[in-house]
Amino acid sequence: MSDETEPVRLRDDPDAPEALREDLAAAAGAALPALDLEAGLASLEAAIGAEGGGPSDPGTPGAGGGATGGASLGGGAAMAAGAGAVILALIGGAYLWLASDDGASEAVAARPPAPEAVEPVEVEAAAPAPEPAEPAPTEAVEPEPEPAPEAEPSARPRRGARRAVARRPSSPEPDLREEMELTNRARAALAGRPAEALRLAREGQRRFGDGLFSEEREAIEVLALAALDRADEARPRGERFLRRHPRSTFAERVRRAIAE
Amino acid sequence: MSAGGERVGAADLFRAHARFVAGFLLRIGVPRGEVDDLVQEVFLTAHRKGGFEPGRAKATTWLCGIATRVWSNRARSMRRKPTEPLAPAEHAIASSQPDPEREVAAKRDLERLSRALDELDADHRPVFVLYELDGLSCAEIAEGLAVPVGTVYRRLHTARARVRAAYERGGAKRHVG
Repeated sequence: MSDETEPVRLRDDPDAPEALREDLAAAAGAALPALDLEAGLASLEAAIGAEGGGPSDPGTPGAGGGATGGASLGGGAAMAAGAGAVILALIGGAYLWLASDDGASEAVAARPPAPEAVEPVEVEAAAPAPEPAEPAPTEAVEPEPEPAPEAEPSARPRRGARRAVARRPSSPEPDLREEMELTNRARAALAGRPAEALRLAREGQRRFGDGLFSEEREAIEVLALAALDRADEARPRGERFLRRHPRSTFAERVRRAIAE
Repeated sequence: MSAGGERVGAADLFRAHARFVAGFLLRIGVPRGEVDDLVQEVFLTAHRKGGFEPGRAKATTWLCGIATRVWSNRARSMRRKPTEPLAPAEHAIASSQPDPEREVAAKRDLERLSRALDELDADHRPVFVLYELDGLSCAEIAEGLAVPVGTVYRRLHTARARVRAAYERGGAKRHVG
């Protein structure tokens, strides 16, 4: 489909409301959000390393498929094995650093389970013939939108990172690994399996009590209850969570969940 | 970036496009507190797919397709429609000379647009954003989202009608800073 047959973009359409045209132009020119690229990349590499480094699904709709292992990290090895390696685990948006004596095996033990159904199948049936409602015979050739420019890695540490570092244990005890793994499973289950997330969060609370990840488990419990439409249970737990952890990285999600 | 048809690994993709993906997620209504998490999920998914192979789709389009499906899945699992404002604080208008009044006006404009975009669900909002804000063609969007181009046209048509209706109902006049 060539651009000539496509509708005029609303910001260029004189028939569109003036306010809408101006707002769209402003939004299109807005700056990209700040992002801590360094921390994000480290977390990504850790997650990839924890998965073993190779792609599990070489099929790539829209970009060709069939590669096996061609997606090696361009920026160095994901998780270095050996003594003194550091694990970077992504936990609820916060980065947690744990010293490790066995980087490779620890990374596997601590890896977050792969989210299920991350790529839901497009269920919409193939559409009939294109229906360009507003053809634009006079539309000028549009410039190709270019990818975001490279950003300088932010020197500002993540809020979650600071909080997590402050709680860093001296060594990863076996119980801590189990607790972390269970919490990761609960967190992963939130994306589509709230009943399981709830069960795992409660199991974690029962087994580990006020452990290192109790805050996240409490949040998961609230979010899972909300997702299960059990608002009567979610609300008091959410309110208690917000009283106990008003500055938690999960506070906003909990607040939103119990408000719905 | 790799050249000559070689696949681009997740780390290279992340370095080049993480901010773009974060911005796209915000624009399609992802709550700010979930953006970091979803950015990770997008690039992890890209890795699982074997990385990006230069071809018909651009890397950004391909990543937007992944981001849309990741968020759509998350939003459905949370049983809610995306309702996050356009994060005006982070979408401060790029300007070489800061002007507080203009920034306030711009923030107001983005909030108004956010409210209109709230009329759209997780299928229609990404198409509207990619077409109207990111300037992609319908064919590119179809490629990225892995849907027929007719579906893109239909969603775009519906989305535009809803957004226009929201503005016409609101009858808002732009505040000039």
